Amino acid sequence: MNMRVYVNKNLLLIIGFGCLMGVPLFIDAPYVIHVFIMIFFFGMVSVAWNILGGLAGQYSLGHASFMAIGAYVSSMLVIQLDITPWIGMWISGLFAGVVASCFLYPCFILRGPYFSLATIAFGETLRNLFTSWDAVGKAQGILLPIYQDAWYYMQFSSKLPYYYIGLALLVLIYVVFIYLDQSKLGYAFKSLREDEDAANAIGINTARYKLAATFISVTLTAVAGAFYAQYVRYVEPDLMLVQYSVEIILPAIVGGVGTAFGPIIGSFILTPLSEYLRVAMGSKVAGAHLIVYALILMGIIRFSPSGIVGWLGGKNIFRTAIMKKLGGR
Amino acid sequence: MLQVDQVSKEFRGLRALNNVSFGIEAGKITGLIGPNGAGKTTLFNVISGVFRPTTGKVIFHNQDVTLLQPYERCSLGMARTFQIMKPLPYMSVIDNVIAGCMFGRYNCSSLASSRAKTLEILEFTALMHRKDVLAKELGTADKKRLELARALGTNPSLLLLDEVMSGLNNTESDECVQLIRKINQNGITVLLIEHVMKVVVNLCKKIIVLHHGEKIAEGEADEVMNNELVIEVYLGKEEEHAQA
Amino acid sequence: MSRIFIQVVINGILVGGFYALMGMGLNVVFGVMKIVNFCQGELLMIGMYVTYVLHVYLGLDPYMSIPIVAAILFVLGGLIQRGLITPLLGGANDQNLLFMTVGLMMLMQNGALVAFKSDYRTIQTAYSLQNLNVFGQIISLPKLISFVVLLLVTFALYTLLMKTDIGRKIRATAQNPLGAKLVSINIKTIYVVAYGLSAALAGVAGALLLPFYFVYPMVGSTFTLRAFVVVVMGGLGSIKGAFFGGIVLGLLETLGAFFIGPQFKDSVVFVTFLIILLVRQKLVLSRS
Repeated sequence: MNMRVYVNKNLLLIIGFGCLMGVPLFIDAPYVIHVFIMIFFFGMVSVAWNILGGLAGQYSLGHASFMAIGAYVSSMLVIQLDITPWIGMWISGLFAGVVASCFLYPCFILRGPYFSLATIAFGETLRNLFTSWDAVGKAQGILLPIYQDAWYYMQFSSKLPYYYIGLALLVLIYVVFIYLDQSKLGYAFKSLREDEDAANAIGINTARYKLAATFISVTLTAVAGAFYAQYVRYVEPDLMLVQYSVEIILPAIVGGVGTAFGPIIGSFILTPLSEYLRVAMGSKVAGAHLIVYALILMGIIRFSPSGIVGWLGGKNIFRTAIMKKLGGR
Repeated sequence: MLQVDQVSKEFRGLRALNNVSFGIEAGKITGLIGPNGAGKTTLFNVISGVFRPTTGKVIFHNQDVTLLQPYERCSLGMARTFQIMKPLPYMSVIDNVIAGCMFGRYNCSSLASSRAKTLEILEFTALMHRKDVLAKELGTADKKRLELARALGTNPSLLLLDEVMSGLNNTESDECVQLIRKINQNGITVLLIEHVMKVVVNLCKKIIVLHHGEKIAEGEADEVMNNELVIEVYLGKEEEHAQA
Repeated sequence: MSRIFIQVVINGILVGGFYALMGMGLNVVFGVMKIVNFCQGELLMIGMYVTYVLHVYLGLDPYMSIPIVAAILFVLGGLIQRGLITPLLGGANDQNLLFMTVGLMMLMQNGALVAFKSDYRTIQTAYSLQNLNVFGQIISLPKLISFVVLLLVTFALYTLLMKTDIGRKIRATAQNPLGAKLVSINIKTIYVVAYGLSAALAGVAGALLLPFYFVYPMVGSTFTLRAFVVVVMGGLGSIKGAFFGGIVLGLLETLGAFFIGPQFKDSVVFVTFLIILLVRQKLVLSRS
C-alpha cells in the first residue's frame, strides 16, 4: 500500500507540474499569469522558510528581511557592478545566508518563542537601518532601471519568462527540501525540532545544525528575493515588516508545517485570495488582505486543536483526503 | 570507567548535591537509589552534561568531561534515558532509532547503513512490530523500549537509565530486567536509578545510596540493604515506624 | 560640549521612561502568564489614536484623557485575554501564543491603517512646544510632564502590586498558579486583570507620547522591540528591573545616536540585546 501511495503522489506531482508548464499556452491574460507568478513566489519562500521552521522547528518571524536582503543585494549588484542577476541572485543568496547565520548564531540558545523574538528583532533592526541608510536609498528604496538587454538583465516585457523562472525556482527549492528531509541533515533537523534535549543526548550538536538550517533556509529565501526584485523592479525597507514575514509563513501553516508540499498548497489557496483583495479593495483599503491573513492565523490558532504545528506529522487534511481517495487507509 | 569526583550542585542557594564521589566499574550494572528528592536525577544530569556541577569533576574513560556538552559525551560513549520520557514524538519508531545511529558512535553516514543497524536494534528490543508507528502513539512500555533502543543506537559504553521501570506492570518489569541483562552481557556498563528494590537487588552488583544530595552508602547489595542508615532513610526510625 | 552631553543624557532618561513603562507592562503579563505579548506596541498605538480622537472630536486635553484611555485599554486588554489568550494557556505549545499575539499585532496595525490611513498625525496643545529652562538645560515640557506621570504611575503600580489585595493575588498567581487556585484565587480573572493592566499601561504611555510625537499605524513596532530588550535586560517578570532597564536603554540609545550616528539607534538596541543574551543566557533559557 505504501508503494502505491508513493507512486500515486509522485504521479500527481508530475501531472501537476506538466499542467503548470502548459498553463501559459492556454491562458494569456497577463493578470492571471501575474497571480501564478506570485503563487510561485510565495510558494518558494514559504518552502524555504519551512526548512528552518517545519523541518528544524525554529520559527523565524524575520524571513521577510532575509528576502529583502536578497532583493537589495542583487539589485545593487546589477546597478553598481553590472552583474547579471542570473549570477547575482546566488551571490546575494549566499551573502544573506552568511549575514543571518552570524547574527542569529548567538540566538540559538533561545528556544521556541524567544528565538522567534530574536528574529523579529533582527528584521526590525535591519528595516530601520535600511530606512535611514543613504547607500540603499533610505525609505525610498531602490528602483531598478530599465535595461535593453532583456536576457542579461533578466528584464522582460512579457510576463512569460518570469512565469517559467519562478516555476523553475519553486521546483528547485522544493527538491532541496525533499532531499534534506531524507538526508542525515534532515534527521538532525527533525530530531532537534522534536526534542532538543533528546537530540543533544544522542550526539547532535544542536547549535551547529540550527546554523546549517538557518544558512540554507535564508540563502534560498534571499534567492527568491532576488527573483522578486527582478520581477517587481522595486525594493523598499518596508518589505521587511513583520507582517510580511507572517505572509511568508501563513502558506506553510495553512498547508502543513513540516510537509514539503504544504506551503505550496497553502500558497495556491492564499495568494489568489490576497491578490483578489488587493484588486477588489484597491489602494483605498490598503492592508485589507493582511487583516484577512491575521484573522486566518488567529482563527487557526484559536480553533484548530494543535494550532500551527497541527500538521507536523505530515497528516494534514488534504493529504488524508487525497490518500482516502487513492484507496489508502 | 566513570568517576564522579566531589561533585556538588547548587541551584540559587539550594544545594542539590553535596560532595558526591564514587566510581563505576566497567562491565557491571550499578544501582543508584535514594528517596524522592535525593538528587539522583540531578546527579545524572551532571554526569551526562545537562548541568554543570558547581564544584567537582566527572571523569569518563580517564578523560575529564566536566565541561563537555551532552552530545560530546555521547560521542565518547555515554548514553542516557530520561525519567520523563523524551521520544521524538512525530517521528516513527524506526526514525527515532535511526537518528540515534546516525549521530552516535556508529556514525552512520547514509540512511541505508543506519537502517541496517536500526533493524538489528529493533529486533533486540522487540520493537520490530511497531517500527512504523509514530512515537507519540506508543504505550508506556514500548516508549521505554524506544528510549532504550535509541540510546543503544548511539553505541554506548555506558548506559545511564533513569527510572526505566516506572509505570511498568510486573510482566513488563520482568521483560525490562531481562533486556537490561542482555544489554549488559553485550559489554555495556549500566548505571541505573531505580525505586523498585526487587529489581535493584536482582540486577546490581554495587549500589550507591543518595539522601538529601549526599552519598550515604556504597557497596554490595547485601551490605547496603542491611545498612542502618539506609533503612532509616527509607523506612523512618524504629520508634516512628512502630507508631505508624 | 558638556552642555550638549547633559542634554543627551536627559533626553535619554526621558525617552527611557517610555521604554520602562512598556517594559513594565510586558513584565506584568509575562510574570503572571509566562507569555510573550507581541502586540504591546500596538496597544500603545491604539492608546495614541484614542487620545487623538478624544482631542480632535471632544477637545479633550491629552493629559486629562489619561484615565479614560487607561480604562478603554483596560477593557480592550481584558477582552483580548478572555477571548483569545486564556483558551490557549496550558496548551503544550508556547509558539501558538506568540503567533496569536503576532496575529493581533497585524490585525491592529492594519485595522488602524484602514481606519486612519497611513498619515502621520499629531496634536497641538498650548504647551506642546513649550520648553522649560531647568538649571540652564532646555527640557521640553511635555516630555518632562510625561516623565513625572511615569514616575507616578510606576509608584502606583508598585503600590498596587505590593499593598493591595488584588496585587497580592496577582503576585500569588505569578509565583504559583496552582497554589493560587488552591487558595481560591480565580486565576482566570487575575489573567484578565493582568492583561488589562498591561494594556492600560501601554495606553497611558500612548497618551503621554502623543503631545510631542506623531501617531501612525506602525508606530508601535519600535516600542515593542524596545520593550522586549528592556524585559531581557531587567529580568523576565521583574517590574523593578523593567523600570531601570528602560531608563538604561533610553540612555544607551541616545548616547549611541550621539556618538555613532542617529541612523544606528536601532542597531545599538539590537546589539545590546545580543550582548545581554550572551551574557545572561540562563535568564532567557527555557529548559523544561
